[in-house]
Amino acid sequence: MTDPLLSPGELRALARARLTLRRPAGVLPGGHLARRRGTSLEFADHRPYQPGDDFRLIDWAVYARHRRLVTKTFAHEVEAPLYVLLDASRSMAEGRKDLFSRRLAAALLFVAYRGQDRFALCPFRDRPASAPNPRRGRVALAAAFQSLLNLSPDGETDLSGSLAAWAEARPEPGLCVVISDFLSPDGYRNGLRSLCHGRHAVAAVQVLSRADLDPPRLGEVRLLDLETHRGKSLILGVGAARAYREVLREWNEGLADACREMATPYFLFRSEASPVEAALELLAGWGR
Amino acid sequence: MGPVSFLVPWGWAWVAGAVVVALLYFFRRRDREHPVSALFLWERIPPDRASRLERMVARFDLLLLLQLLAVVLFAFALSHPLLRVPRRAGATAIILDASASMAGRSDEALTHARRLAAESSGPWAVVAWADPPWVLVPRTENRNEVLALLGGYGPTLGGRSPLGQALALLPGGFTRTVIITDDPPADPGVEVVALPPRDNLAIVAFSVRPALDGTGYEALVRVRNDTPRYQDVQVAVHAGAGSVLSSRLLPPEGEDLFIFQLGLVPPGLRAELLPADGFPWDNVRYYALDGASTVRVGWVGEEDRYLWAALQAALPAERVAEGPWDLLVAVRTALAAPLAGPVLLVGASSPEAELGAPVPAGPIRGADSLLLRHVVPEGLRADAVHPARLPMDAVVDLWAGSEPALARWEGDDGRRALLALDLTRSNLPVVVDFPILLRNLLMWLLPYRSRPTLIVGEALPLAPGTEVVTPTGRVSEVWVPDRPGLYELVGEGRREVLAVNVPYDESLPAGAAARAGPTGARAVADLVAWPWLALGAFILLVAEWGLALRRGG
Repeated sequence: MTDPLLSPGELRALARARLTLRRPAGVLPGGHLARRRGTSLEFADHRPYQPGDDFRLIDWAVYARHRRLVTKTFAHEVEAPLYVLLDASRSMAEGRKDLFSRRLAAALLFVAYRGQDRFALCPFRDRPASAPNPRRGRVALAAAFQSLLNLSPDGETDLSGSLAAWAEARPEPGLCVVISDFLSPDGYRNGLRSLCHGRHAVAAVQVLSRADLDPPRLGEVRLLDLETHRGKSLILGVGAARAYREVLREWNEGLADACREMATPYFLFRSEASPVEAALELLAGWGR
Repeated sequence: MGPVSFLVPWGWAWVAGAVVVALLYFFRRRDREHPVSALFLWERIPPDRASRLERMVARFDLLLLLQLLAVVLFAFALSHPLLRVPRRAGATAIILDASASMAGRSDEALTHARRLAAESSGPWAVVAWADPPWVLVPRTENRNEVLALLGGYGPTLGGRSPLGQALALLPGGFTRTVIITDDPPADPGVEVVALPPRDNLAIVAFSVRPALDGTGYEALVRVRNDTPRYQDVQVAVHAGAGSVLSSRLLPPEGEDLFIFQLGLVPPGLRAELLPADGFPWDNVRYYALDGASTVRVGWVGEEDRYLWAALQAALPAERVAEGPWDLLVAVRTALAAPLAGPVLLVGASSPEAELGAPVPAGPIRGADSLLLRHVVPEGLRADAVHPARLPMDAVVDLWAGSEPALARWEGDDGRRALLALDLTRSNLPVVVDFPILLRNLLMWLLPYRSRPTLIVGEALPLAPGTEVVTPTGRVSEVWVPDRPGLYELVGEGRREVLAVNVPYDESLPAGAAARAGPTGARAVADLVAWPWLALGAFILLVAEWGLALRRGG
């Protein structure tokens, strides 16, 4: 694991991190507590006895004290594969957002690997992202890291279309982390909603560069879209920068509102930030 | 010269290149592109309503500013500026003013000298600038030695020699020369530490002259008030046993002339100014007159006790047998050869004025003349008078009938006076008017002459046999006075008075540089700045290039 994505020190910092979600909808037994009760060894609660319950689950100690039949329930632990949906379009090349995104994805994959979870890396651009079967283990992690190393930003983004197409492939329900700048003119709602409908636990991670958040005052300039190659000439001064920041703020608030509606955690990171710290923040915030 | 000067002022013409840069910047095609992640967000901002002027202003960005700065720096460099910057001095020569005006300011001068020694790295040399100047500290690289030898500094009561004499005493190899003085010379060509002027009351002129009406002498005393306050000054002139006083109110920076009427004048006078101040040496001035001392009289012809008694009553006189004498008196004799100096002819003839045999004298009458001041000519009687053939320019003051009785003229070598009356048959020797007439006559014959005033430190070579009486003893050959005062010159059977003063220049206001306030010498150096400016311009261009690359322009 001596790849340039994460240094040994960063890997050590991530070694004790765990994905601890209570909402995975997986079916295979695993390490994540499910919302429904199950058959694990961890006691969860009592509930009134109902005909048909297994006699072995009746808590006779409670009957001796209260003369009421109650049944013990146990927590259900399921496995939740991690899907990292990574935007690899050309717009991610601006401000080294792609590098941050790849390093963040690597950190998340490493955390899943350490938690004995299955994981899958799903880059997407303008076409529907492929839906590889999640795997676990060192070999799968090495393959994923190599894919990240080989990944270069290219093509245009169709965020909604790509996510919806990926969800329509009905992959096994799991944890979906969508890493993108979410600056897609076609929007993002349909894609996120498709993921939620696929019973995935979704987290939206928006990555923006310094120039995205606070464009430099360049004076007279021709702005060139990295993906569409369309251009716009303007005087990029204080007024234009202020107006742009206002538009971007509205856009991001819309994204945050959409995530709030879908009970999806939303994270915004700057591309200059530390991916390890970003991953730890994401894991901590996602688990609440 | 200011702190910056330009060797090639025309180099500034390259600033015109900035215009070219600006024109190229404003009118070249603008094709700079900037990639963005989401153009659709930029398309949502309000349309650009900037005017052409605003667009022009918007084009004026950091790159243009850097380019213009580089052009200006290049033009600045091409003009070859010289920057006058302070520097730490090395070899430092100090010239300490040691004239009389520095009296009482030793500590102030030494403070500056010590500071200069402390701020420089040496070697050092110090010359005391007096008349004559002397080496106070020879060339040395030991700072402690300099500080120790500076303790021997003390101003004299004399003046200053020309600056060149002081500079000539400095050894070679000094890159910096500093003068510490309270009266900076004009354009000395070296650094100057000008001490501020101090408050001073001074007699800046003292002289004696005959009164215009011939009644005596006048002492003139000019007083200057170099203080910021009005001063009630009192001036006294001490003439022998008597003194005359006057007081007046002097405005700040003002001068006034005091005139005192004097009768009999002693050979030495002293003027004194009150109140005293921090520099008392110019509050007392001395003056000496030549002729006010004992007159040496050579006598030719017959003896005349009445005449000699009247002469002694008129002024201090002594008979000498051989010359030189101050006055030759010829009594009823005939002088064959013309004589030098003042001559009083009493019934005596000379080649200039021949007398005939006595003839009966008519009534004596006098003309309106200075010689007859306080004399009543009508009271004089004479039975005989010598007819005289006088020079053409002779002035007759007294007539006996139609014959001149008293005449005077300017000879080739001194003044001449002729009393043609026959004193043996006249009442003149026994009347009170006679010594008065003789005094008036002798004052014309032997006018008082101002004796040049010596200044402290001025060497006076003495004739063989003459000595100067000083408080420390008699001095012969060469006398260098070190204190102001009245001194007696004796020898060759005569006694004269010499006046020694502190130089009057030392009491006059200092130059404009000193009056402007205290200034400190500062070691400066001319820094050739063009390489640094060119380097700065180059760095600016590199920065501009890097910024342009970063912008992708």
